[in-house]
Amino acid sequence: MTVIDRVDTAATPSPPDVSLRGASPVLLRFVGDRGDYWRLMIRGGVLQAITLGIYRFWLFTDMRRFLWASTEVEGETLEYTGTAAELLIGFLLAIGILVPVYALLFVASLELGILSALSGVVAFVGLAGFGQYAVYRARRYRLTRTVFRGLRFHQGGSAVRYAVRAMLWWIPIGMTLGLASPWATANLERYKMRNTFYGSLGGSFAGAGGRLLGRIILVWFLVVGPLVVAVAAAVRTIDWVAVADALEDEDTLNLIVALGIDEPLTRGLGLLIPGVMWAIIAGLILYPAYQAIVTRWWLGGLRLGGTAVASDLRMRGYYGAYLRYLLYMALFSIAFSVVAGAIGGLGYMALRGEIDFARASLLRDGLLAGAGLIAYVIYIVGVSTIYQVAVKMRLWQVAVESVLISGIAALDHVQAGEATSSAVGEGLADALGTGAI
Amino acid sequence: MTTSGTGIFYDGLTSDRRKVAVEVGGDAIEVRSGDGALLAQWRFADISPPAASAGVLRIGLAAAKAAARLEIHDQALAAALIARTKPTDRTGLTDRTGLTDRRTRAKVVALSLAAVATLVGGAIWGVPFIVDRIAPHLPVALEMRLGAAVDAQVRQALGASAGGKPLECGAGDSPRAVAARAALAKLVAALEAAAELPLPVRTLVVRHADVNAITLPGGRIYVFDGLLKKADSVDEVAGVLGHEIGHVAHRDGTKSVLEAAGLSLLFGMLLGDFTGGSAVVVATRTVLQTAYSRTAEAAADEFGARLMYKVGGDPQALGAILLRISGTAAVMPHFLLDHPAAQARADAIAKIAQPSPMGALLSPPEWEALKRICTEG
Repeated sequence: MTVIDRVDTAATPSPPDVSLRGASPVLLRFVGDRGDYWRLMIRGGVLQAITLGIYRFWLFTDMRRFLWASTEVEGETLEYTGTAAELLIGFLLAIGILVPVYALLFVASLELGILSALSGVVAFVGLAGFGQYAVYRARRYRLTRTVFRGLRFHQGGSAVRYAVRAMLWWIPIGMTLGLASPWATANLERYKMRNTFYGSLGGSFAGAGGRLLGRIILVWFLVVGPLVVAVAAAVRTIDWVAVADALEDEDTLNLIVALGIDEPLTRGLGLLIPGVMWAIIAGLILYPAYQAIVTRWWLGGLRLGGTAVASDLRMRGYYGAYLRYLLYMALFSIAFSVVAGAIGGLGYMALRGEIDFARASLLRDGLLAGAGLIAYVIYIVGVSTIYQVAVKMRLWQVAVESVLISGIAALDHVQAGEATSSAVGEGLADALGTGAI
Repeated sequence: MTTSGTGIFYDGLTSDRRKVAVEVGGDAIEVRSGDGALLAQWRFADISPPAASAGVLRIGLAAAKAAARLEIHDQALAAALIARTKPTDRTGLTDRTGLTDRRTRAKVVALSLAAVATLVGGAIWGVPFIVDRIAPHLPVALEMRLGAAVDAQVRQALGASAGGKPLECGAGDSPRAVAARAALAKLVAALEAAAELPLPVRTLVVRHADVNAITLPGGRIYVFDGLLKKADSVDEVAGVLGHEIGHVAHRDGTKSVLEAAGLSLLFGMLLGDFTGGSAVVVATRTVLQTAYSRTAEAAADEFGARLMYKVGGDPQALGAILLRISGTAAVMPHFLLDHPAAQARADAIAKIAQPSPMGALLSPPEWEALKRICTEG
């Protein structure tokens, strides 16, 4: 998929006429071809499996180039200029940082002896904070590799400050069972956007936490509400004296009786089970709605100089993406079972003479384990590819197409800003599992 | 053929959009503003085409710091530019068929596979090689601390099957318990003295039906009651103890931690980070870790047999009891076993040393006391 192919095959659109542009808001357009993305993702999935994951740096770079180039503002697409080699080097540097950290954590947990349980918590919090640091650094890398109209974006601010801020927010979020998270999101987003620049033009974030809470409170009540009630009811009905006695005597049977498991639905844990099940099912069903609400709120808060973003994102588009994913998944699973069954059957027939399948043997077990592993990897890679195209790309497209930009003239005479930054943060995020496209 | 036309130019210093005149020359492209001033002159060899949307050729300078861009919407002019660039250049501009992309990808895949092969080789030979050289130099105190941490978990796991009685056998004050403890201490002391260990061993008999003995990091050896019950002679118990002392001598506790760390660096951090990769990582680590373990077990067998030879016991006794108990073990594929097969172990032991009895390790009453250490409380 090269640029040149497209010049040869596609019709040439006329360049937008700048002089005729009025003050009316401008729509963002998604101009990518889904077939191209399917090809890119399937090839990437296969090569990732073959190279045991090393190909991911090239795949991520291809994905970003595609998604950036598919996002068009006023006839002008974004451009991703990062390279896979940068990501690979960033990742290796991150490993170089993390290995000594892990080793120190291990030795510390031995040396501290009794404190080792505590040091586990400290390590967890430390690594989670490191993850937030990486998230911020990775964002800087991606912004500095984003070019629009011959200028780069960039990001100032301090990743350490951002990480501390993000971690401090976990305390009120935990204490309010997640109700404080809209304010946390708004606060962190303000920090990111205030430090975001297009050339010399600074950004800001206008989304308010309270407004987001107002929009997601219903979702929160439907998911977390029944769970809270169930936990509260369970705590009230359990005979805590009996539980304490049973724990002291290490008497499992009495413990079960005391917790009320023998009287399901009426006492103790019996209430918890439907509460948890409700939370899981409601959470799954409402997740796309939640995502759509948060994305719409987030998009509507973005500002760049005098340019403001508005979004009329509908939940319909998000639910459509997930439903299509489920459909593709079902079809893929059926096709996979048929093909895998056929190959397995043919393989068995072909090897029946060579190997005694009825008796355990090294060859048979190795063969079965290897075939099972390969089948598993193929299936999982397939499912993940379907998810990336049917959900991830579709959500990007729906979000992009919902955007209306006003005051776009503010982007017209911007001066160039700072230079690019390294990909170490991105590598850390990758190694810590906090990376994103 | 068209060699001139119009385009849109961004100079990389401001976001101003300029309509420009474009002239495709012999070895460079010239960009001029409306009044004819030269804005840019880019040699074909320096040009790179970043990804742009359909129908637009967008080019820039590959090595430039500023992101100046020229967009050509005129298809004929774009074709002319492509035709002028030499097929040998590395800009990708001449890449009509995606050939450069494919070549790059093939190179990446080939290098990645080479990297995977190197890392797998590193896991098979490199990790044990390095670990064998690092482990002896690590402080014994560190291994003792590690052992204390593991010990708490092991005691909890074993305690569950002790049926309410204390896990440790022979801890009481009865004369028989004292005699049993003394017999165990005598046997261990004889072996330990001959072994020249970097750290002291601490041997206990635990109430557990399995025919087994385990060594924790830091020199803790747990002999299971099931083994004492199954043993026909004191030499068989001593042979097993010699094997376990071999693990202590070789610092196998420290080594297995280092090996696990090396494996998680290679398979987990460097390799296997893709969706579905966790299964590959688990499978590879299981196979490799059991291979390391088999090597360590064979080395401990050899050490145990030589130790038995030194103290005047029967070096073959370990092989004998291994063969006797192997009938009860579940049949597993070889590559998933953390010990070599019993027959192979017995054969290897037989090659190491011939029996050289110089006298009993324990007197018959002492052996009797040791055998009944768990029944006496």
